[in-house]
Amino acid sequence: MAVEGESMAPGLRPGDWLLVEPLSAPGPSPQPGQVVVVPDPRLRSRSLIKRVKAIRPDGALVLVGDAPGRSTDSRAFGPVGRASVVGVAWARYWPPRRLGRIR
Amino acid sequence: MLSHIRAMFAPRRIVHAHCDIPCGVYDPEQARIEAESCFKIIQKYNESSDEVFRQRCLHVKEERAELVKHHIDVLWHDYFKPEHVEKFPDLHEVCWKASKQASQVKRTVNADEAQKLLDLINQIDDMFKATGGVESSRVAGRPAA
Repeated sequence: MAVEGESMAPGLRPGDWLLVEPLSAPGPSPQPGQVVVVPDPRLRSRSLIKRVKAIRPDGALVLVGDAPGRSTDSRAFGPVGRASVVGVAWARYWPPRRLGRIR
Repeated sequence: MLSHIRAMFAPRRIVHAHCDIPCGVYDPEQARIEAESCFKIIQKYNESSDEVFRQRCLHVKEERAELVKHHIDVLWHDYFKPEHVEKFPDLHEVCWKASKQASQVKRTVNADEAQKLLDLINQIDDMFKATGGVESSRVAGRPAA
C-alpha cells in the first residue's frame, strides 16, 4: 500500500510503499504501538493508516498519528472497533534506502 | 525499463496518513499584512488634514483590524492543536492578547498600539514556524518578501 499524507511523519512519508499483513476478523487484536490500516470511519471508501495508541477495556482501538499535530485520528472520530482493522503494516519496501521493518 | 519494474511492484491501494485540513493552508502573514495596513493607515491619518481622507482612514482601519482578528482566530482554532499548546503553554494567552490588541487598534489612532499588535503577531508567527511553518504552506515560486 502506498502512503499519502503527513500524519505519520517522520516514520512514514508520502510515497512510501508498505507491506501490510491482512488481518482477518477473529484473529488476535493488534497491539499498542503497531501501525494499522482501517477504513476511515467517516468515509469508509478511504483507508487510513495510524498507530494503535491504546486498547480500551471493550477492545476498541485508540488510533493516533505519529505527528499528532498534523493528524486527524481517534481524537476526532473516536476509537475504532477491532473488527474494522484491515491489516498491520510491517515493512516498507520503497524507497529502497528506507527499506525495513516498521516499528 | 526501470519504470516497468517499478510499476510491477507499485502498490494498488493507497493508505491515508490523513489530516482533515492539511496544515499547509495557514500563514500568519495574512494577519500581519492587515496589521501593517492598520499601522500605515494610522500614520497617514496623522499626517493628513483632509477630514474626508481621515474619515476614510478610520473606516478602512476598522475593516482591516477586524480581518486581523479573523486571521488570528483561524490560526488559533484551526491551525494550532493540543500538542502545540503543550509545547507553548502561553499560546492561548498570546492569541487572546493579539485579538484584544486588534480591538485596541480600532479604538485609537496611536501607531504604538498598531506596533504592539505587530509584535504579538510576530510571537504567533514564532510558534507557527516552530510547529511546522510556511515550508508546507507557501506555493513554490512565491516572490520573496
